[in-house]
Amino acid sequence: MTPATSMARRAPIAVAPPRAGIWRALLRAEFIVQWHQRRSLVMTVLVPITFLLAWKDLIPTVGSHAVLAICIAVGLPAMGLMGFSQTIARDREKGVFQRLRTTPTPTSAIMGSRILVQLVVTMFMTLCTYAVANVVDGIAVGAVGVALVVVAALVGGMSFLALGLCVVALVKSAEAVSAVGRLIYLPLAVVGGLAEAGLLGPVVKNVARWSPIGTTKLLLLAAMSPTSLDLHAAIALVATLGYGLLFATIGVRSFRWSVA
Amino acid sequence: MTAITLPSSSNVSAPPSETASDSPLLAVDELRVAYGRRVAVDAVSFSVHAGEIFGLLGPNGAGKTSTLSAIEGLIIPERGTIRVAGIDVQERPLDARANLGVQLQATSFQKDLTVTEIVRLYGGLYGIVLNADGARGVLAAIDLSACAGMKAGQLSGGQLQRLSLATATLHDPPLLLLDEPTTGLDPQSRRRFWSKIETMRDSGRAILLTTHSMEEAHAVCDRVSIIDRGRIIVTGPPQAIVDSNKDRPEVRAAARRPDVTLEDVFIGLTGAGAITT
Repeated sequence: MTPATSMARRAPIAVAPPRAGIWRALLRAEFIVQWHQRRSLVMTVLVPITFLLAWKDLIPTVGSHAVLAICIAVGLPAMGLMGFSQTIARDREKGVFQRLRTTPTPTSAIMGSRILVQLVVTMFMTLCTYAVANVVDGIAVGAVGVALVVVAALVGGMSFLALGLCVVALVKSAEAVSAVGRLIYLPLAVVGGLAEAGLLGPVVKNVARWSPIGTTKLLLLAAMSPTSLDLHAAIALVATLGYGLLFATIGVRSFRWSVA
Repeated sequence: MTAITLPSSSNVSAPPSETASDSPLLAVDELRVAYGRRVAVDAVSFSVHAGEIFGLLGPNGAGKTSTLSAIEGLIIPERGTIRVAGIDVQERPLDARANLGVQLQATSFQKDLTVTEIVRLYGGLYGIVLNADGARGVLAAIDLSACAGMKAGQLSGGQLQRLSLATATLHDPPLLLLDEPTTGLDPQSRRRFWSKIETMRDSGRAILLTTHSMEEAHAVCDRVSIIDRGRIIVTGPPQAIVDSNKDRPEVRAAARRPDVTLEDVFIGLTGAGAITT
């Protein structure tokens, strides 16, 4: 044993660093992670674009704006349920959050930075989808329309991120989160898309219209025609926010930072 | 289970650096941690002073990691107070954590970040802005310059452990918490690690560690506490604990050689003394 010296100097006592610096460090790291995962980012962007190209024939039936709105709406839960939730579940399982929580970082910043980066990705995905729709199908909504579509996509995106958080909160293992995410996403996307075309009957069409994807689609559709905003759009906004609030409440209350 | 008090005539219960500082850098008082009905830690009190390496020893499930987790603020204790550098962990958790360097049992970093990016991230979380040169300097100091562009998942156990210690000490914390830090390391890595820890101790840092290696605890710790079933059963310098317990029948029963070791005392006191060979 080496005896401790009685001349030991005591280290200075610190206080927690400013929040701005912490947010900057977390956001920087998150954007770097997104860059390193750019193949997965491309896949995320390809989801609505693939639907857009596949559902091209629906344009004469339901209208070009409606098809674009459905495609963006179908792309949003892919991020929340398959990208965001799986990353959170994996990092939780690996103990990444526990390590971050031992630093003077508020837990709200740890989760908030991840959500913020996902919202930036949402914005990117929406703009890419619109660009393809504009070039390939000649769909145009004007500058104000594009801005409102992005806002609508962010509102819808937040509700699906909240749904993703809800899944991670209620399911422990990363593997199970992945399975549950796909299980929820597929019916959401398929029913949400096919029901709009009336292929699954009027009852399913009505149910799908007020599902999370349905209300997001209504919101996006309304954003594309800002001059004709109506009660339906307002109800869709309230419903989308309501879904987001419900999922977020369950998610935040049930979420655990570690699986141990 | 009753606590064992060491002889009051000796200086064994006094922390070695008592003269160097007035108040402890870590003070745990009557800590109680429970998971539902299961009590993991009960009435645990100890303190760690500047210039001291303090070991928390115990069998698996004894409450070591729960105690560390409570100090780190990862779990909320049912009862008791914890002060880091005089700051109450529950009242000002972020300020308390700013004075902590932590190395968890399982080292986990974001798998998509490189070693340099990890160093810069953790620097930023402690308010230290590291540019590329700064990060290179940190990596050079821990002999990881060649791994700067590698992802954490590509590092060997020893490299990962060095990176983990570097991220824990970037902000030069007064108190360092190490949860089984040498598990899985080869002898060279262990020796380098302890040498670094002793240097930190000598520069006035307080170090609290858990380990299953009684030999290491005896060699590097100034004081240790043995914890069993959530309660501390003995605290003192390793040799003093051996000296004051070597004649106990349960310790004698656990001893495999005439010279009683800290491991014999540990096994004897933690209820595994009935093991015979």
